[in-house]
Amino acid sequence: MLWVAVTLVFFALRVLPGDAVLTTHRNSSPQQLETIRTELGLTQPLSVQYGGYLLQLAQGDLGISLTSYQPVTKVIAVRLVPTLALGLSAFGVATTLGMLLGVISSLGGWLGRFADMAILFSQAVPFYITAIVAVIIFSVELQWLPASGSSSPVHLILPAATLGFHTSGSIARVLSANLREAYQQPYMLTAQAKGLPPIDLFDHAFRIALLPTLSVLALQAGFLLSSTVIVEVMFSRRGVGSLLYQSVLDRDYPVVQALTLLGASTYLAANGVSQLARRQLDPRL
Amino acid sequence: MKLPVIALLCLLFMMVIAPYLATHDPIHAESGHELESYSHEHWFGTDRLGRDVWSRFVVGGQRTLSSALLATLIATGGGLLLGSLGNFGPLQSIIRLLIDALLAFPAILLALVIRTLLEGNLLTLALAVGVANLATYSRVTMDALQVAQHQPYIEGARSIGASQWRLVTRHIIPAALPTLASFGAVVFAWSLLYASALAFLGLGGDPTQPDWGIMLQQGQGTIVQAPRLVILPASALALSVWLAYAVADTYSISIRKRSSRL
Repeated sequence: MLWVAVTLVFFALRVLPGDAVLTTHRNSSPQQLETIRTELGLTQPLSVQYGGYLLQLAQGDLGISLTSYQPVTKVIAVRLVPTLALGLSAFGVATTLGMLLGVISSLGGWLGRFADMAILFSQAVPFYITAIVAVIIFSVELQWLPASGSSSPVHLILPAATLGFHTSGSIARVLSANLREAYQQPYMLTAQAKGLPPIDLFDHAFRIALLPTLSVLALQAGFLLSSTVIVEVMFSRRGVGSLLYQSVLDRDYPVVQALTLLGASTYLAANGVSQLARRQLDPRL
Repeated sequence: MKLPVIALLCLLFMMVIAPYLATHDPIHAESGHELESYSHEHWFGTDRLGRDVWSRFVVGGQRTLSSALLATLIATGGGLLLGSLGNFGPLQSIIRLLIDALLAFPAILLALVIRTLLEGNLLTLALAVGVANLATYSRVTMDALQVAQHQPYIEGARSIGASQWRLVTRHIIPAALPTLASFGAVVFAWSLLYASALAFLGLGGDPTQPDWGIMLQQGQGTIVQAPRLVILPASALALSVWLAYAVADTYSISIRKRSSRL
């Protein structure tokens, strides 16, 4: 699966117009450009480049960045920590908030309607709008939190909170719908008839409703991953997302290739984990 | 027809007549009239460069909505084709592999990469967003067709001698249609979000042309003095996305009603 993904990216990047060498060496003569291309192996036929790339990949070598001339693994490694921190904290916020909103929404009443509104807001409003508003309130007006940068954990609060909030909506929606459905199952009536306290009833329903929610969690991991690009550009954070944005602009193939590969494998891994967790929760699967 | 469907159609109709709703030239900057407030002349005031906000808003809406609509057509059209090929044709396994590989790329990331590699106008923006959602729609199509295919009444129809063509056109496609329509509306909502996000990042094509995403980005700097510059496109965007979700919901409710009747 990963191999198909790798191949797609490799050829797509080379078929599409744009030239890394031209972008980075605007002032060089045609001869100089030619030498640089030869050095980087860009003049060889595509099949040779592809073969060489696969061989390197098998050895864990991701190539050399066309703009900074450093090994891609090194370029990415430096940027990985801030993005991981952002992704994981946003995921934490999303899961906690999503579960909370989902449960409250399933209870109904005015509190439930309020939760429904929050869910709707989280899904329908693009997250960069909330980000703008949050920056205005907390950074410009109140001056509590820094608006941009990635040097300290405090810088993490605004981006992680906005991103997490906008991820929580889908989680809450699915959880709420499934909780309501679970409460209408016949075994819930049995449990109620036995005189179980509400908290045990909730435990019954929650376990069942959690199953479909887990697959949504995995899907949302993919959404988070790609949203970090926009978030990092907006909050000018140094991270994998802003690196991708810059590398795409510079046509830095090896870096883009490595990053898409990273994105795809993270996504597949998240899916795998959710499958395992589902089996743990429901022995029937 | 349900209310959300009518409302969404109204919105799309307003998109068509947008040039007639505009009171001024949306890209004409009137010097000396920067950041004016609400007035009879400029209904929603003017922006940082003295351009009429209302006109930019309606014409920008036309660009945003039409690129999202085009992206939706690309995603659903391609998705229907790939999804059916993955279910019926001789190339089934290859197509499925391709869909799964495409699915592994998060959509915004894919849209971003395609968008930056293709030099930009409205069409390439729609293409990037459309292709980004294509894999998901193919997958849904494939699943919907598969579910429809294995219903007992299909077997019944086959056993009384219905042709393959009749099975597909009269039974399988109508059964899968509500799911496909509902998810099509969801794809429209996603396309709106992605297209405006890319425009917001400055990847929407010609920056002088109005667009809700571009308006948001340009209004960001003056949000304290003139919050309407952000509020107007933001609420319109949120309303459109919400309408699209509501349309999707009406279809999925009709699916649930039908399955409970069975």
